[in-house]
Amino acid sequence: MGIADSEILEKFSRESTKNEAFGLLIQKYQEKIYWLCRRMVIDHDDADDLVQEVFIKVWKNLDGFRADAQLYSWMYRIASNECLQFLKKQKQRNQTSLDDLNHQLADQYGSLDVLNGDQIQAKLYSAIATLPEKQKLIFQMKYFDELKYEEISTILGTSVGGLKASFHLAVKKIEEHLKNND
Amino acid sequence: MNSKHREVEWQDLAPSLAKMEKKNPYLVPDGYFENLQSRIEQKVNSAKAQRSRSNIIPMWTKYAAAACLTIAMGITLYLNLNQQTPTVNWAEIPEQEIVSYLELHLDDSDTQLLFDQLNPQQTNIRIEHINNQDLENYLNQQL
Repeated sequence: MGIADSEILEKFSRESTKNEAFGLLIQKYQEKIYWLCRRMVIDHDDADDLVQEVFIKVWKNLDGFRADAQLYSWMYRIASNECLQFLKKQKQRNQTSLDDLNHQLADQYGSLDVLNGDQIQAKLYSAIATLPEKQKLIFQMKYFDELKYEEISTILGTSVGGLKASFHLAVKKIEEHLKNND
Repeated sequence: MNSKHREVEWQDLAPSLAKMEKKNPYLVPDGYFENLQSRIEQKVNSAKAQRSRSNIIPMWTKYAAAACLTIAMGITLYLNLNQQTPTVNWAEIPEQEIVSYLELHLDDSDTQLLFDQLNPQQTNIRIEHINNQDLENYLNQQL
């Protein structure tokens, strides 16, 4: 069990321990944020850039963070927005639709050894890549990070009902993809 | 309890997916997470430095802009208050001076403009009163 968020925030509010608090915050959340970004954008270098951007934003805005909200939910929200913006820009740069981009990524999984040679995982990630961006985020938060619907709702600002519907749809699509590619 | 409950939920909804082992298949460069913190801190420090620089610049530029604006307004006001529009009594200007001025400064387009503006009712110029030689001289000079 690491340091409590409340303790980090308390330290961050004092000028003398601000840097120390930020260091603790990075230690605690860097991997979670990295993996959220990595699963969304796939490429390590892109995920690396994003995770740094996320923490810069956290640093700039942490003073205004309301202590009644969950710190990790707030950070996940920043990370999710950064990822969605990145994918949007990538789409504009490549002059392609997000759907096309997703299918390109899915094909990449099928043809390249990007997943450490694990064919079963390659199938799963190939299926995830075909999902629309927001559905992909919801699926990842629920499946990999095992967050509750209520927590995802706070992060993405979507109703719990809407999230459940999206998640079920995502799972069904993945299931079909797995069956069809057996 | 939670993970067991989730497993059941998964099995019902997506049996193939539920059978899969949840593992992270991505590769990360060696020592990446050990160095990530210091790299983030470096980036934050440079962002902080940039922020403090940009905080200084707008302060003096704001003051400079305000000072320039005040000076410009002051000069305009001063000139407006002290400037007296010269009143010209055209009748006092000798005709020869007007002719010399017009000869010096008039060009073809002005001539055309003067003709356009000329009100035949108010002038006593009649084309029939101009003799052919003057007309020919004028055309030779101007065209």
